Amino acid sequence: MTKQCNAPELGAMLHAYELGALSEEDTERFELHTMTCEFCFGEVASLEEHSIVLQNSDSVQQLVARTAPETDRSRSSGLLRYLWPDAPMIFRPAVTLLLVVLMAIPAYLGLRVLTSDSPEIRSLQAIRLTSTRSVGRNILSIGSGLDGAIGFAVPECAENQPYEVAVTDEQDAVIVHLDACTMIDERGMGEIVFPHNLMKVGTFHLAVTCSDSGSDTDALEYTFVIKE
Amino acid sequence: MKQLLVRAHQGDKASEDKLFELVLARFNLYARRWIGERDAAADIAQETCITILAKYKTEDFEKGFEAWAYGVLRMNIRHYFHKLSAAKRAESEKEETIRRTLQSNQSVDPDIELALVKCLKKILGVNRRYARTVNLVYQGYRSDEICKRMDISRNNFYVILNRARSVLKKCLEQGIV
Repeated sequence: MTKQCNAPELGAMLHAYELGALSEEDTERFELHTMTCEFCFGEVASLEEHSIVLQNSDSVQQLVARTAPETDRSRSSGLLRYLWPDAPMIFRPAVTLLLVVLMAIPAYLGLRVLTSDSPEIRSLQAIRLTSTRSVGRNILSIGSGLDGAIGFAVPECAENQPYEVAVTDEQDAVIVHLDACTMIDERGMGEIVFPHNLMKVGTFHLAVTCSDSGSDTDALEYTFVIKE
Repeated sequence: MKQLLVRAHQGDKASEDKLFELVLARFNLYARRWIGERDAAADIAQETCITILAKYKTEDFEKGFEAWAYGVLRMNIRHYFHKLSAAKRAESEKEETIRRTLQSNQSVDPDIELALVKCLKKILGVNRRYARTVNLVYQGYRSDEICKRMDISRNNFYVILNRARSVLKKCLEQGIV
């Protein structure tokens, strides 16, 4: 017997012929092919009895029916077939959809933070300085990790005149100097924010004067302490 | 077969015998597929060979000896279906329908059936496409309809079947899957 088919495009119908799956026309084409192809005739002859059983056995047909997947493509919905076609994974729309969703979630969360109406307000530790030189409760803490909001009374400056604020340490070194402050609340109190990164343990003096006043008589002086 | 034909034409009896041995083996197989009944198929195959033997030396084969001989067989098979029951056979009833009915009446060898079931249990469990394809065949679909339902090409359809057939044959011969 020859070892290969002399017309592979016809020989390909071999098992379909054995199962009886070919049309009448194709059956004739295949049989005519086996008249001249020793290989294909030999194959058909070798499983002739088996193919009769394959076509006619109830046991075999029941076994196949039990094993065959229940859904076939004609019964599955058009949407399912569209989303999950018989194609490489990367070309399946369902996979693309899943990737889009996975990327969209962090994007959405990020956008939500950016567009939020209430921006994050950093917490501050707040003190309100009294006009006496005693420390009292004028204490800021480095350990809190927070900037310090320091409120104080402002001298009576001319209308629209800004005021200066100077914070010095015990060695009279200037820690903070603001020369054009205009912020005064409804109670006539000013406020500065003492950054946490400038804090060190010790006693500090805060002096508030009207800008360009040229005189220390208008200055208001306070004392506050920074502790651990 | 061509060489045997040439020698048979030249009067070589041994070649003629061999030629018709090959032709008869094929005709037995084809007739049995079309008709179903072993004895009737053998009769038709014999009858066809006798017809060919009588005519082959004088016949002018337009498409070749094999095509001519096969054509004679098909014609005899059609005559057989005509003779079966002219009263029952409506114009619309195809030869294929009758053929299927006859084939389904064939008896099944129990030993072969057992061996097939054993091998198919192993194969169908892992080869779901083959299972689905064969199931559609059993439901009466033909190759074109099956390809449409499974959304596969015809080539793909044949590949699925032939690959499974190789495994099935190996299992039947060696018990290996």
